[in-house]
Amino acid sequence: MTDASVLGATKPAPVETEALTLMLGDRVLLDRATLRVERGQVLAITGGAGSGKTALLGALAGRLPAGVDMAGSARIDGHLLIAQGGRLAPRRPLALQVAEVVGHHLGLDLRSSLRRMADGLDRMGVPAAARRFDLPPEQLPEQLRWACLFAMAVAVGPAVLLADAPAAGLDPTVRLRLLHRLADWARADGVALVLAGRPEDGLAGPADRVLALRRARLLPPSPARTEPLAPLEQPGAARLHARGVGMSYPLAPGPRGEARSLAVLHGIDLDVRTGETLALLGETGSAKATLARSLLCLPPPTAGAVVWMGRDLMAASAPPAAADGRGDGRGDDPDRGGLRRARRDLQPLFPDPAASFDPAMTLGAQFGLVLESLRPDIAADRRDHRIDEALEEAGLRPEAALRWPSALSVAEAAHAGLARAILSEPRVLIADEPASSLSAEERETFLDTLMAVRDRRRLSLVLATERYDEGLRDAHRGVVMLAGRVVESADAGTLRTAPLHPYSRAMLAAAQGERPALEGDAPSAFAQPAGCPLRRRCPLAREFCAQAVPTLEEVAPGHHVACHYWDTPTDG
Amino acid sequence: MPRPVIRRLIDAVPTAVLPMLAGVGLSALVAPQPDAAMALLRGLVVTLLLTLPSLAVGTALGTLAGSWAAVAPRSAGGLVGRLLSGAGPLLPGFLLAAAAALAVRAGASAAPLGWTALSIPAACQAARLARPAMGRALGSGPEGGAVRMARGLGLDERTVLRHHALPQAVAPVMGGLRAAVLAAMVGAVALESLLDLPGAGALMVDAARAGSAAGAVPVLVALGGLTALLNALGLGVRDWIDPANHSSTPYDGA
Amino acid sequence: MAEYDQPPLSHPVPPDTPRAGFARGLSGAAILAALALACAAAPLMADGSAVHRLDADPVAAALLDGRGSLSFALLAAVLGGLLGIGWALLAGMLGTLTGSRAERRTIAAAQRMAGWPLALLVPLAGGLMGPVWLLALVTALTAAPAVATLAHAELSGLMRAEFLTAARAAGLAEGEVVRRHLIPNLARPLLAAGVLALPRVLAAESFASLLGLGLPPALGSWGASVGLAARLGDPVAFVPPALLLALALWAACAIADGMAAGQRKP
Repeated sequence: MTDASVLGATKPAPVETEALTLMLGDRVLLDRATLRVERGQVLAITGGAGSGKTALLGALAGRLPAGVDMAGSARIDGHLLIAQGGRLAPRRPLALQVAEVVGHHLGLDLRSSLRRMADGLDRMGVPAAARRFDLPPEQLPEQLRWACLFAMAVAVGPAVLLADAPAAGLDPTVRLRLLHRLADWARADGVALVLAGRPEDGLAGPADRVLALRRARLLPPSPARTEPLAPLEQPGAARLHARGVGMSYPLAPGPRGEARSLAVLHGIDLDVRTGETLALLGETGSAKATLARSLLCLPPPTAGAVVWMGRDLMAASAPPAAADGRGDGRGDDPDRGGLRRARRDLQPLFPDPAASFDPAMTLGAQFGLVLESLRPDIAADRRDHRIDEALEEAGLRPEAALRWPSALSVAEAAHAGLARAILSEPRVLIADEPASSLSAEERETFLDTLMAVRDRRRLSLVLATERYDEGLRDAHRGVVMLAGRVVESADAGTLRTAPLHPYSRAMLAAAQGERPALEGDAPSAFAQPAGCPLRRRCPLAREFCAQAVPTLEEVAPGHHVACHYWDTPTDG
Repeated sequence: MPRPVIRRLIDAVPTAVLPMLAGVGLSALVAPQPDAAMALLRGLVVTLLLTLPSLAVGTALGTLAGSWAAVAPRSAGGLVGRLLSGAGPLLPGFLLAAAAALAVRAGASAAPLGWTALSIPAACQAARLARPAMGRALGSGPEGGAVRMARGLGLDERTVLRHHALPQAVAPVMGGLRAAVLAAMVGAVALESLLDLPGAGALMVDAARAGSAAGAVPVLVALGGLTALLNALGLGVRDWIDPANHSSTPYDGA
Repeated sequence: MAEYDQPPLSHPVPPDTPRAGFARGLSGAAILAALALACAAAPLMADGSAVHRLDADPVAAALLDGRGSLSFALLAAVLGGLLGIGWALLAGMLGTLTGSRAERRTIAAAQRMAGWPLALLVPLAGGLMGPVWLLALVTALTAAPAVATLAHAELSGLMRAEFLTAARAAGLAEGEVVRRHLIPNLARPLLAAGVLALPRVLAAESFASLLGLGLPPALGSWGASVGLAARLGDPVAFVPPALLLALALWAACAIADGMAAGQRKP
């Protein structure tokens, strides 16, 4: 293809590549990709960590990362590149940085730049009250920083906007709202928008076209699994009960020396039946992780009771806490009121599996310690055998027992965490975002392994996650949490098709890539509004919402909702 | 004087001015010589005049050289920066003070040599902290995000270096200023004693040589106050050059 | 197309950066060991039975001085390191026993002291107090607050580590957690913090001796020789001890940096 023929055919597209090849050393990141993005088109490029998305955007923008070689051609009109992480100079006031960028591209002075920026913020849906331009970026909430970045791009109005992992790390409902607004702007103003990110970031929703960067090729994405691997079995009787579980953290004493505390979890009731998978769904600040840890008594909750097989764990875990000071450890009661027995039955999966291993011991040594503590009935010479079995069941090779935690990749560490959790043959796994460090195929593989282990051992599973669809996919029941309270609980099928609480609906919409019907940003834990914590973002909110925290009411058998106006139509 | 510096100085009154006053008062009460308090006051001024300019100049030059060593390691400035950052611990202030004393005995003039001897350790310390921080700010790690973003937004390289990379190199230098102040105090005491300057450090060493606790302890207290004063000045300068405190005014348009 | 069949690299393996601090720490240790050896062997180099130090050639004299400087620095560094680590452990213990307030105060005291020109105490002690062991104690005290601050930071970081929670989830009693997990992981950072005392005490002693207020002349010290040469204006006597002192300081700093750098990234 020559330039002349392209020019002759049509007006050239803002982004065009011809057999673009990227190499990192001798590894091919991208193999002869031919790409064309039209004006007003939104393209999403998804790929796992290290698949070469950043290098591709860098090549398009003419800024190849160090060590990457390029062949083929890429042509692009006037563009902006929003780099990964969305960082700006951390201490320089945002207004100055915005004015610098806008002024550089459009030749405007500070005041006109800021006015254009304000227009951009309008299009990003940031209310005027939240605009604090004179603060440096490090003092702004993350969602506001991303909104400002997008608004800056809107203010400049380039022909092409390349965004690397845009709004990654934000809650799904907030991220999807921002991305949809950005996509609306691109379509309305005829800007070619290229979004790159991990497949689980939900970039596909706002995009017109999705390509997955897999094995160095840009291909249509393969749809994620939406059904459970094997049909779910009926759960048995409830064994793990949480009654009125609450957690509050002490704060520094107030101005008059009075004790203060911050309550993050408010009286949760929960039952987990044998063989049941329960998804705890919620975003940042929902206290789903705190609830998961409270169920394990790590640390014990400050209110309520956790009962496992008729035994109150908090009573069991209290005495050793008092004995800690004496530092006499093991000499006391080896079973400590049944807590050790309960530890054997309830095992955790940690959000950062790599950090949950002692860096000073091999995996095998740590696993041996777990067995020694929780399964004294297994003879010492049989332990290695059990460790090998557990590693293989979790998808690792038995040789992994000889490795040091620092030598494990992130995915291997996640699988090793699973292997450790099943060592003691538990009855319940309590997993707090177990796959949050994984992406794309690795994430799917890990979750599939987890579900296979669950089915084989008929385990109960409590899965805390912010990914609505992924959590409910393999679950019997879901519990949606918001600001330390349950706002909706129902069986998984109901939650996946017809949730009633506006927050559940927004999470479902975000998970499907649609526009969540929530405005604004989640309030911080220190400044929760009175009444319903969602009322400032909620489309159904009325005055009464500020007066009372809604309580859970049963709207159908097994379906509870905590909303004053759940039966009001959204547009009413 | 810029407002942040004044604010920091006011905050430092109890830790800086009070010990100095206490030292002077104490020496008026207990010291053997009658004019000890006046001598101490004069000595404090001499010590301040020795340390402050050398610290300021040394830190500024060292930061620039260290940052430049990360930007262009093979240029002349870069070489100086690499030299300074590598030689840091080789050149403690008191050893340079001894070398300066040797040179003065050989006929060189005292004041410029003294300032140079005190500013070199400060420059080394600043370069040692600034160089890796600048390297990280320009590198491919997470700290390089701001620079990558600025380049992606199309800003020119000069602005990127000045506003996005350099502040990240200056921050650790400002954080390490306390150690530099301590080193400068030690160096100043050695320098005054070896060159027979009428500074507070020389007073303390003379009293200690004479075995007079009543002469030495007030000076030590006063020198502690002087250290706190220099630290407060450093914090003030840090606040002053912190870009977060340079908010531009006309927001009403937005 | 073989390269396409490789499994997708999970996380971009960071280019295997050689641990930057490690090589420096190693070379520092080697230099310090060589210096110590040379100083120990110095009497063999000086001719004859009794050593008349001022008459001997300046290099041999400087090496002889090194014996005093280095052995005193070692003694004071061990003392200072132990003091600092003990301080940090005490703060940690106070924190678990009586609450975080006592812990914060104990460590805040160390931080405040670290900002004070403690090194000036050493010449004062040299002038006002007699015995060497008192001088060693004072020198150790000048290094202890910095050690305590660093050691406490490492300690409190480790107390929050997730793997301790994992060990508790495995039903280990608190004492077991401390014995099996905390102590093995604490040894290295505490050692790294303790080594921080070495360059500080060496510098403090040399500074005091330089002013003639440090080690007694019988012991010999680089600082004292440098100070004397500077006063006398004798460059030939100045250069060897000054060079050896600078080298020893660089080596001690390199060891401390290397330990700290090796600590930061496991």
